[in-house]
Amino acid sequence: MSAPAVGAASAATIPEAPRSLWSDALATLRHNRAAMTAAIILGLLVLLVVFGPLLSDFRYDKPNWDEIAAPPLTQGHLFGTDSLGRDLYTRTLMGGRMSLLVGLVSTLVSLIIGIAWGATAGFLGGRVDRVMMRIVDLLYALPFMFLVILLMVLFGRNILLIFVAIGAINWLDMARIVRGQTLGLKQREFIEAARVSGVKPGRIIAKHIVPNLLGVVVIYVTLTIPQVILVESFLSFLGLGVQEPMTSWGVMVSDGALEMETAPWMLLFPALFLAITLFCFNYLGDGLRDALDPRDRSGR
Amino acid sequence: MSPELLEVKNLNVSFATRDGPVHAVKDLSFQLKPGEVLGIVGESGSGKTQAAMAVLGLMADNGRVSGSIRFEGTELVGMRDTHLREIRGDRIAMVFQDPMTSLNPYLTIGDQMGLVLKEHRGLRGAAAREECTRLLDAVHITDPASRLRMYPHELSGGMRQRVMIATALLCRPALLIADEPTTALDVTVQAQILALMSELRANFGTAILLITHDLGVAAGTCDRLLVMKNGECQEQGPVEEVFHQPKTAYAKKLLAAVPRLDAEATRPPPPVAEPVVRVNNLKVHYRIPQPGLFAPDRTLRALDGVSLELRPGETLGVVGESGSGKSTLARAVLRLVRPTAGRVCLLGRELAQLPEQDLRPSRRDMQLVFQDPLAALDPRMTVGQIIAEPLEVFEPSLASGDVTARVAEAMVQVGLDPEWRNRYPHQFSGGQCQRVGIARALILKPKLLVCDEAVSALDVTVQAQIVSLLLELQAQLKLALIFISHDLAVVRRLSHRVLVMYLGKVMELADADELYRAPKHPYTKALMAAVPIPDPRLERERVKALATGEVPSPLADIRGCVFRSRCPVAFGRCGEEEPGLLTRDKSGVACWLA
Repeated sequence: MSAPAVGAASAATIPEAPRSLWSDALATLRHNRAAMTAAIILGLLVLLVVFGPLLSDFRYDKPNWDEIAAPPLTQGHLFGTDSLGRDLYTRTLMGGRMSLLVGLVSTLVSLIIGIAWGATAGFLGGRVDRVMMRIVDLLYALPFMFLVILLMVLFGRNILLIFVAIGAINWLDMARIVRGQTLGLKQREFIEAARVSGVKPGRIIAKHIVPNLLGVVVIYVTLTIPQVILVESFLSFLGLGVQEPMTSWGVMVSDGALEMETAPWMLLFPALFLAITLFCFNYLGDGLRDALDPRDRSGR
Repeated sequence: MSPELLEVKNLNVSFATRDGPVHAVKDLSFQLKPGEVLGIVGESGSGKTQAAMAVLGLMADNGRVSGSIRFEGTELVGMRDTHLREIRGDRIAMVFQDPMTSLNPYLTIGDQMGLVLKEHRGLRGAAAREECTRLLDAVHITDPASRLRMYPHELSGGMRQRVMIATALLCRPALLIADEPTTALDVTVQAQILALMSELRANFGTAILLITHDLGVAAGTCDRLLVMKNGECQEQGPVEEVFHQPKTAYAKKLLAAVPRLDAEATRPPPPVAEPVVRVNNLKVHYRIPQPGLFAPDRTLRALDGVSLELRPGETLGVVGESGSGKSTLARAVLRLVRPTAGRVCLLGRELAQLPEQDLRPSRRDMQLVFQDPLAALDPRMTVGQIIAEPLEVFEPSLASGDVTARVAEAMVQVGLDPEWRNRYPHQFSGGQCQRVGIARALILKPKLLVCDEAVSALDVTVQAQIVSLLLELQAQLKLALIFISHDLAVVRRLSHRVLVMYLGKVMELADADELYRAPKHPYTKALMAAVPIPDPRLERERVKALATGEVPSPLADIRGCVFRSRCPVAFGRCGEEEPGLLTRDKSGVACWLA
């Protein structure tokens, strides 16, 4: 490429407004068909689980002893009923509310705390790093179940506690990953360039470190969301999480697995919803990672 | 059988990529006689390495080779890999650029060399050891028998390259392919390795295919030269013909761009003015903890007592080999590391021991340009954002329209089109990235600009452009410039005065003209002698007083003069007393004989 003649374009006539990583990323994401499809499906799914139960003819918690384990499309039950005769369609949507909420809120909590904690520890280094990471180690050492039971005993049974407990565990992994990445990034010359330019540490973390971490973070988030949804079902199975008649996809899948031979739809529908959701998060995550890395964009 | 050892005809190398095939080598033909040295020169991306890889049959999976490569009468293109492997390493051997990455860190030197002997010559045990010892001796490694038991990391860079060459010669190959064999080495070591290669060619009769970007290296070593650009051969002929009567425009342009040590480049002295920066006896020492409970820490003297002064519009060149403390000097002056002792006075403000927050206001007056142009730019920011960042830090009240205008102004100033500001760094070439780096450094109109090897990673033609840009900007902005480089020829074009460093100390400080005309310190002389001159006639006639050995560890406690161990003229007093820098009129030499 040849350098342009100096003064070829004057400073006054600039056709394009300045762009940023985020606006460019959004534009790239729009062109990613798989990611956009995933995003639309997820959007529809959210609308469905929020408004679907309100419009349903059946209540999610009302047993009907005449129609126990009815197959799909009988008596107006779109997905059939469960072993207590409750409408499976309504229950699947109600379960979706809980699972999506747990998945998103817990992940978001762990994301925010983990990135802030890990990037700060990694960037500042030295004694601060050592103290901050020892706190992480300490929390790691606490048995997860013990923590949950302790919270239950102290505050009583509350769905919010599940968010707190899961978030409290998950951010530790995130913090470790982010710190490791930050240690590598810190050595890079563009960070030194920012220091020479007099940029303060807080701004270096926010403007240089975090955007360069996003690739790894997005991958990790797409792994965390399914994990969190499954942890929730495990807690519920032990009687520490969601309680009957309220439900979640995890609970429905584990209940459905018991009836697999006699009433396969009880497993099929919640599992299908769960699978679709996880697929969508994965595709969206991949798309986001590519969009956030300018080097991956094809075409200029 | 033809008299040619290697005959390459219409060689094409292409790679299948997502964006269609990329043609790395196009229709290349050349011959090589036994014992001849052919140099392939070209800038990065010219396909010179791919051509050599094709000869060795080492292609990436998506690579396709067509044409004909005849070696000792055998056609290599399309040959089965098992047959190729017998030729590779046995009849054709290769030496790579980086001796550290091409040696296995988990094997001793003896084991690695032994593998080759076992594979190709069936030698093992004592016979193999004896053969290895003989070859290490041939490449002038002292105490070869004990080196066989060492691991690669225990050897210095030059020593590792010697081991690589010895390994390559184990089977007495007819052809040695050397891909940038000296690029990763210091000039004094480079000169030693080049001398060694010429000697081995005479002793073993090996033909050498030397791939290099450095025309100086090619001038002194090669018989014939092949100039490549964009995968095509531009010109081919005896080395003197190519250098003295280049036929093609590209060859002429390439030769003109090469900075020369013997060029006349007198720069008028800058006007007398109050110095921008004053550095006094600056020291940076690191404490290196030693293994063992009670072992005392050792001190690494990265920078040990450097003083300098710089006026507006003046350039100070800083030269020295790796480990000489050049970069540490840059970082200490800019306060990226806190000096252990000494003073740094910028525009009358003492910076050396200020805490970071108090220092920040001074940052706008001093800026840095980095060696690796791409690595110094945040990959996730547009170049507009990158250039604007210092402005946003120091003038946060500036309206966004004004920021945009200032960025555009800075981009025009360094020869970039302001319309490119929404692009990302990876979309630019190395030279353009360096322009972005310079624009960022200059947007606040600093008084002091430090260039740390700012043109070392660039091709010669681009290097010449960036150097011209720096000269132009310096004249416009009255910049005080500290220009750090290992390349003495580049430093010459830019500098008013030159500081020669060795092991963290100043060896010589002098006006550029004087230093290049009559170097006083033995180290400066050795450095000058080691720089190859891109002129085959001159280069062959030069009598070189090469420094022996390599830079000692900076951890070593050296009594007396630090250069003593490599100095050809050292005498008794050098080992007892350290010669101070005798300064007369802002120039000085740290040597008892000066």
